[in-house]
Amino acid sequence: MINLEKRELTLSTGQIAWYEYDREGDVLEIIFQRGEATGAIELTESMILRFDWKTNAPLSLSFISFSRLLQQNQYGEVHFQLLTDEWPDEARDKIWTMIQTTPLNEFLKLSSYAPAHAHQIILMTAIKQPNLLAQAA
Amino acid sequence: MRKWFVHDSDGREIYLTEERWEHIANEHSELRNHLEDVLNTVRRGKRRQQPQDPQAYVYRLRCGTLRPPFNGILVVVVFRFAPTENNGDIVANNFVVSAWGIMMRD
Repeated sequence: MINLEKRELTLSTGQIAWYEYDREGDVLEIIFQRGEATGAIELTESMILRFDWKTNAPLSLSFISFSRLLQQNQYGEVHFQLLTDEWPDEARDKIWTMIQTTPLNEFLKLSSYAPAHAHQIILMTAIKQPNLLAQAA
Repeated sequence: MRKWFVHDSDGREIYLTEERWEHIANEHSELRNHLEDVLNTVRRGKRRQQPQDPQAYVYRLRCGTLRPPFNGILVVVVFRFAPTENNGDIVANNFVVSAWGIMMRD
């Protein structure tokens, strides 16, 4: 039987979101709006964003192997590479808009890495409220 | 409660419970009529180990029957171990956790 732990969270805008944590599967889904998505992409290898194509509103953000994502190492905060090469061209602007605005920017922050002798910057994201999210896990 | 058993392209047996399928169909309703496509993603999909969890894998496969702009399915499978009900022997317990319709780059 799926053991889903559900919590309610009030965002900075006053909007209500819901955490649903599947402990056996170690998947956390933050639900901003319930309903059928009209778009979804892999933000990173461990994060999936479902959204409304017309309004650019995020519906849910899922974290795979969630408890592992929160584990810090001796070097500090862990950042995850955004899979920008996998995003369809027609969805890129929408995704950037969503990542940089509420509610997603309450949970994710953007960063980048410029490897030595490389011309391409690697875009990354980190989990912004690990302590808050850890309460769900 | 029903379980669907499938084998991935390397012969590993993986199951999806009816309860988890109902959860997928309710929470990711874009997949509601695509049970067979989800199972087919496990059978034929490309497998990727999760970088943070060696027991978790993602299966991805293009799917032409989804409503655009969706064109692929992503399934999360965990490979764990569990004791049998009969004698307590530890056996593989590989099951589908969840699935999403996704947009894959052409």
